[in-house]
Amino acid sequence: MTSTQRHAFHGLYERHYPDVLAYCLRRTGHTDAQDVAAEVFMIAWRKIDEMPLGEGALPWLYGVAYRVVSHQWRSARRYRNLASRLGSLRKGQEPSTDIQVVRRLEDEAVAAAAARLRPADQEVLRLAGWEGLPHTEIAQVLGCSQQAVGQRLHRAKKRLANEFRVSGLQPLQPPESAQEGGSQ
Amino acid sequence: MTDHERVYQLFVGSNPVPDVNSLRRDLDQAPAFLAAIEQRSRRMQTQDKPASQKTKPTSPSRPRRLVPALAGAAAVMVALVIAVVLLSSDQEPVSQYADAAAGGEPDAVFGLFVESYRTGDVEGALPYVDADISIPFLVGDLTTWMPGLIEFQGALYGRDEPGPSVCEGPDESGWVSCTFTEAADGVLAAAGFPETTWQGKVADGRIVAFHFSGTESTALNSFEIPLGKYAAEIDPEGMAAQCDIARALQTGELTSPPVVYNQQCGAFLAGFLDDYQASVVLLSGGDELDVVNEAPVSTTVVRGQEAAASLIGTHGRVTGGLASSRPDLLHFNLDGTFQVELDGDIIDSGTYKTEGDLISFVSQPSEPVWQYNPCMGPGGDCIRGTHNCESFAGEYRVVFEGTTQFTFEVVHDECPPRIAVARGLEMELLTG
Repeated sequence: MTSTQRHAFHGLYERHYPDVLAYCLRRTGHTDAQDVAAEVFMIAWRKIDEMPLGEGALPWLYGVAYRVVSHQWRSARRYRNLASRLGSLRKGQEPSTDIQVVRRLEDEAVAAAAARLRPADQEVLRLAGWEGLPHTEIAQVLGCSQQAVGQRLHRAKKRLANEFRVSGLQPLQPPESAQEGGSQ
Repeated sequence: MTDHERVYQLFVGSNPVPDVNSLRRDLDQAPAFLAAIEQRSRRMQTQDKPASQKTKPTSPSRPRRLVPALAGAAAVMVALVIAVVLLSSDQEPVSQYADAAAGGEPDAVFGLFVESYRTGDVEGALPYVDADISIPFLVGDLTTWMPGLIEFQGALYGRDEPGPSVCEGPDESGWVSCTFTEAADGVLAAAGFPETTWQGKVADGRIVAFHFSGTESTALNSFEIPLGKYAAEIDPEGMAAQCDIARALQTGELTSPPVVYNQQCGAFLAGFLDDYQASVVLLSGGDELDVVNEAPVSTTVVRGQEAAASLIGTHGRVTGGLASSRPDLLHFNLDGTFQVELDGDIIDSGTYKTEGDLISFVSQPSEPVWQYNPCMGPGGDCIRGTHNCESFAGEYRVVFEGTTQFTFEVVHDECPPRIAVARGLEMELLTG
C-alpha cells in the first residue's frame, strides 16, 4: 500500500467508521458490532484498489458489512454469542419514564412486525429507514436495480403495515424524532 | 399519510442507533485500530509468502528435545487414562440422531434439535437453526427466547428425564414431525393435550421453519396465561416484580402477558400452580358454555399468523356467508362489515351480522396447522381453538344468543375441534 493509499484509507476510516459501526449495531449486539466493523475495514484495507472513493465509498462499505453480518449470523459459534448479546443494545439508551414505556411498546410492536418479515424485506427497510440511503445507494448495497429497490421497498412497507395490524395497536402518531436514517 | 407510511415512520423512529454522530467518540481509538489493521495485514502478507521463503526454525540439540518429548508422552498417557475412566463412568448418551444429523438428514436434524431442547441443551440445539428461520405465531428471535422458555418450563413444571420422541417425515410439504411428552405432561394431559408435536422444515442441514403444534400453543395460551392472571390477582406486586413484562420486551424474551418465559417467572408461578389447577374446571364431551361478550376489540385475521376477530355488540344468528379460497387478511370491523383481502386486493366483503352468515375457510396443504384465536371472550379473555389437520376445509359458525351472549360452534368433518374458554379463574374446555 502506497502512502497515498494509506492516507486515503485513514480518511475513509475517519469519515465512515461511525456509519459502519451504526449499521452493525442496528443488526447485531454491541461487541459483535465492533468486530464486524473491524472486519469490514479489514476487507476495505485489502481491497483498497477496488473500492470506490468519494460518494460511492459508504454504499460499498455497507455492501461489505451486509455480507459480513450475514456471514457472521450464519456462523454457529458467533451465532450463540450473538444470541446472548441480543437485546443488550437498547439498555441504557432509553430513560425509564412512562412515556418511554408507551413508546417502547409501540417500538416493540413495530420491531416485532418487522421481525416477521422476510430478511430481504427487513434489510431494505433498514437501509432506507435507518441508514437513510436513497434508492440508488440501496441498489448498490443489495446488488440490484434502482427500480427493483423501489418495488421491494413498497412491498416491504405494505407487509410491515400488515404485520403491525396483528399487534392490535394503531399507528396514530409517528414519533417526532422519526427522521429517516437518524442524524448522519 | 397512509397506514403503510405511518407504520413505516414508526419503524424509522425505532432506529436503535438514531444518532450516528454519538459514535464518533469511538474514533479516539482510531490510530490504534489502524495500526492493528496494518500489523494484521502485514502478518497476512507474510503468511501468504511461498513456503520456500519461510525461515526454518532452528532445531534444539537432541538431548534437550528428548526431555519435553518424554514429558509430553507421559502427559498424553495420563490424559488417556483419565479420559477412559471418565468415559466409562459418566458417558454422555449418544443421540440416536447424531450420525444422520451430521449427514443433514431432515428428520435427524430436527430430531436432534428437539432432543437437545428437551434436555435443556440450548447450545446443542441452536447450531441446527437457520438464521432466517420462520416461526409462525411467535415474534422475536428463537435464540434469544428459547433459553428462557426452557428454564421457565423447568421452574414451573419441573424437568424430568424426557421420554423418547418419535420423528417422522419429511412429508410431501417438507415438514418433519416429532411427537413427545412434555415435562408438563401431567398438566397438559389434564387439559386434553397428552402429547406435543413439533414440526420443522430442514434445508441444507438447518431448520428453516419451525412450528409448535397447535395443541401446545393452545395449552400455553389457555393454561399459562390464566395461571399468570390468577397469580396476579393474588399477588400483583410479586407478579409485577417476578414477571417483568417491560424488561422482557427490552431483552427480547418470550412473553404472553402477564407471563414472561424465564426462570424467575416460572419459579414464581410454580407457587400458585396447585391451587390454580384445583380451581380449573374441565368440561368435555360436547358441553357448552355461554359467555358474555363485554369488551372485545377490533382485530384482524392474518393467514398463517394469528386469527382474531371482533364480534362486539353482535346479536342474532350467524350461519352463512363469508367465503374465500385463500385470504391473506380478514378484516372484521366494528360496524359489522368484513373485507377479505388477497394479495393486496379486497376480493370479498359484506356483513357478518346478518342472519345466516357463515365463516368458511379453505387451507393450503403447506400449512398443516391452523390456529384461530378470536379474543371475544368476557372481559378481554379469549376463546381459542386449534385444528391439527393437514387441511382444515370446513365451516366455522358463530351462534349468538341474545344481545351479548353467544356460543362458538365449530363445524368440521375431518378432525375433532377443541375450544378452550378462559374466564377468570376457570378454564372450560370443550372437546369434540
